[in-house]
Amino acid sequence: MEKVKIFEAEYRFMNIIWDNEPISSTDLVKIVFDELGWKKSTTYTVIRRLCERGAIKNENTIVSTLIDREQVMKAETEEHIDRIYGGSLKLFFSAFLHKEKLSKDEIDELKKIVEEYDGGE
Amino acid sequence: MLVRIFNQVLNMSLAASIVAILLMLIRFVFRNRLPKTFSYALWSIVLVRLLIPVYFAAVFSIFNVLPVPETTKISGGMQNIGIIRYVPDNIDTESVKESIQIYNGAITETSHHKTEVINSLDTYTSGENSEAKDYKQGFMFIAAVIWAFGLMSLLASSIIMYIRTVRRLQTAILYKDNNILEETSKMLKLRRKVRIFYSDEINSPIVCGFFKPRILLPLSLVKDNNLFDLKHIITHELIHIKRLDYFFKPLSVIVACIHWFNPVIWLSFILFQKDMEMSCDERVLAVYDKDIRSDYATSLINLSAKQNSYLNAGLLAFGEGGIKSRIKGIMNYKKSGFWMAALSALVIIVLGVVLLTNPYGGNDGDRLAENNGNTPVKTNENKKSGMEIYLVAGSNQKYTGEVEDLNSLVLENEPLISKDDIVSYNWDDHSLKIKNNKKISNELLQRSFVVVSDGEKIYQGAFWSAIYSMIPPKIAIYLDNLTEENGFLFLSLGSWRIGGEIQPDVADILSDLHLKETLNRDGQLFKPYLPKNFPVPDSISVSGKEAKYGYSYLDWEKQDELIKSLDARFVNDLDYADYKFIPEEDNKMREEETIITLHYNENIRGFKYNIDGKETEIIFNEIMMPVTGEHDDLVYFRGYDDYEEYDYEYKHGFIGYVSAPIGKLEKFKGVEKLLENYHEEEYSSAKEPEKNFISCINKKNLSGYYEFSNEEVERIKKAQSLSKRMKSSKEPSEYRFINLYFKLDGGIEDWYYVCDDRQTFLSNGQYINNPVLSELILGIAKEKLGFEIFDTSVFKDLVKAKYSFRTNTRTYDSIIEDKSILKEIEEELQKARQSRPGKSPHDGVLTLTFSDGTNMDIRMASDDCPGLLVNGNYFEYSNELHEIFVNNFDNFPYV
Repeated sequence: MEKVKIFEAEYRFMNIIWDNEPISSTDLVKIVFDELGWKKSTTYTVIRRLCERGAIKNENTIVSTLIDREQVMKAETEEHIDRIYGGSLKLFFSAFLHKEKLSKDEIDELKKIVEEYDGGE
Repeated sequence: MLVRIFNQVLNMSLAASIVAILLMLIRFVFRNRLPKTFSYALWSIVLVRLLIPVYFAAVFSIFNVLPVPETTKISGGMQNIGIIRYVPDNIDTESVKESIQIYNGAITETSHHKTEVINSLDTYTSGENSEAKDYKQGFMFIAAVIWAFGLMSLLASSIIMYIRTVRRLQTAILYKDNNILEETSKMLKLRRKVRIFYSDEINSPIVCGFFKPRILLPLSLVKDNNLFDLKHIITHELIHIKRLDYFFKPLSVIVACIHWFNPVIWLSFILFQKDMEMSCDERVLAVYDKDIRSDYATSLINLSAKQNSYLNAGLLAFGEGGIKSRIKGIMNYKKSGFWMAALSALVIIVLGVVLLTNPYGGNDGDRLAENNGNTPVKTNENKKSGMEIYLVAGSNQKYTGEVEDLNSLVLENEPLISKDDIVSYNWDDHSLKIKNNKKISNELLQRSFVVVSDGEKIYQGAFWSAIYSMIPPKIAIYLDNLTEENGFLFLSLGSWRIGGEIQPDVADILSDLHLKETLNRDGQLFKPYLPKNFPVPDSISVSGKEAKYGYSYLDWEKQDELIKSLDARFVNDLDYADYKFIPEEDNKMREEETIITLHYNENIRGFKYNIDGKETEIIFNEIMMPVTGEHDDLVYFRGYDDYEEYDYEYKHGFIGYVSAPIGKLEKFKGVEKLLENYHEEEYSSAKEPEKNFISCINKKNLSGYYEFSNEEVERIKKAQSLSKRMKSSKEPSEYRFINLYFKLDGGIEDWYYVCDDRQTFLSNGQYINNPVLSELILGIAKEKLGFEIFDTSVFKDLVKAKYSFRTNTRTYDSIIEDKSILKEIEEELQKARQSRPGKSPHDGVLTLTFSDGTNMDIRMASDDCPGLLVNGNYFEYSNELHEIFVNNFDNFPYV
């Protein structure tokens, strides 16, 4: 059984289709708007993307799944938005913006600060 | 343009930097004692300073004690609003006027060393030659281009990043557990509906969107479902939304992009964001009744711990800044009492007022003048510093409007207005404020002066009165004495000719302004023509209310307004419409006027009319006088740009439709009557038929129509079918129309103009060849209207030419019998060209006597047009002939 990589948002979306399939894309847009808060265009974009990956099919505006829930491998988004901003621009701005990466030590230190203040009162 | 904008930005940047540095000092000194909300509010002052160039001047402005070279007034009228200028605006414009070089030493060296703003203000150099100036202009241009490039790239990348973020966040999922949202919204008294989403594409909570901001949470946060944390974070974000931070943050980014060259602004930008977050934290702590400091701090640490990197690059969305200091800030937080809040608010208001106003240069002139003396603009060790105004030597040095070589002008030894008298000088329009020490008096009107800056002559002008500047201007200066207290002297480029309508009930505001000499539009001095027995007022008075505008700024609309407010109206070349005599049935042109009578009175040469029930009397003077023209039903008044031309018109002036020397004006009883007479006598009362008619000017009636019979129409139409369209074998200009045309059935294309070759017509823009039709039409015209094409070769063997001109009261005759002159007249008359008649009044009569004793009467146009009518044929004659007539008949063509 071939596994298909699905991201969090897509998984939520797939769930709706599994629960309702076969479903007309118009109805799907309505449900997705209520459930996920997506705009029509967003829903269609995701439908197209999932069709390309072979997770669902969209025939005559009827959407149905091609895979089972078991076939899904939930994937973590590897790239977060904050990593989009690579390159020189990032350098430029990060010189001014506190780009912090908290190490475990630092977290401990912060927690200690909180405790100290707490104890002080 | 670009350099101008850059300049503006530079000036704003510098002014704002000073404000920002002050705020940073305040922020630093009171760092742990001040609520962050307070410092956050203070940044808005910097933000405003960075965005808006114009502020009111006030005595309490911080810039009264800080060096500011100049403020630029926005308009002549609004004295207290202005722009602070460290960098003069006019270095990029061409010098204001031909050879008048404006030099301002205040070109800043600071454009690339912004941090040294204050220091560099002291390092102005002055006295550079024009080479240095060119260099600086070039430098400014390059700097401006670099700035614009930086701005564009920064803006573009910010926008691209924003769009990318938004696109990726589209698939964020609606967070549906809205209990927390409702609860916190209620707590914050936030009424707007906010939706929460979550996404695995972000690491930290952000607020996104300009119009419908939504909160986006990282997936991990939602998954953990730690309600404490969620509640704290949502509260925090909702406070951002409530305070419209989601709007101010992007705004601050844009501002930072605009002022990218200024490190002070960047530092402010960072501190601003930090204060935004920390003040937001404060609010969170304040809205909870119990002490949640350690809980809240823990939530924040938990959140940070989950992130492998800390989002901040979502420039136009939210990031959270400086975690450590935030934790400290949170733990240090004490709820501030009412008094603290009130005090903070008060301090913010005071600071806002002090930091958002420009230096005041009105009543406080002394201080500012003294201050100005210390400013770098005027600093030069070797030379006398400051701006001074000298009169050009010689008491009769009147302003001629000619731009002279400034260096050649000999000035009086002592300045008329010394640097101590000058409060401020505006380089844009060369207006200046002086102390009202009565040094400027009306005796100085028209006197030339020179503005000297640091010993260098920079500007030539003359004292001039406000009233002269109605036509916007090239060079002239007027004294604006309309209000007692301001003592403003405007140096503006401009002049205005005399001529104006004198209101009988005016106050004496400008009573001393002499109108006997003035400038024409080109800035040349001329003496108006002052005819005997023709009263031209020695002075003009303008009534009442204070003028509200510097005249040089007046556009036409404002002029109208001003004229209204002054209760006076001025004649100028472009405004004939105001002086038209409009018959009552057709006075829509100026609706507010109802002209009731056009009435000449025996002694006063002028007329009266009513505006809004108020009777107004107009006295003609040499500029404003009635003339006739093409408008059959209008008497209108005309002035000339060129005085000489006008002068001619004056001497030969005429009124109504019957010409008369203007000196005899009193003999006319009423223009209406003249108009009536003219129509009765000169034009037949025949009305133009609708269709199928022929028209020419015939002997008896000057104008005549004949309507074709049905049978004639048939014949014409038959002949019409023989028409051949001409293939431009001849230039259209070679055809000469005769004063005969006809019209068939209707429609525009059915007009036919007959040419003198007896075979060509012009119809609908096409030349048509049809000798048969021509013969037919000419036959009918001769039979019914007595029209015949006139052959100019009959003008030969003249022995006498008499010109007669008639007014209501007498006839003027003038005779030429000189053989050689008659010969010339013959020749020119033979060359006269057939034409269609214009609308000139043809009430002069030229009687030619031939050698065989016969006479011929020719009607002559009595205005300036070279037209004559012979047996209904209209001719245009040459300018040469016109000259002959003018030179040899007395007062031709009017008397």
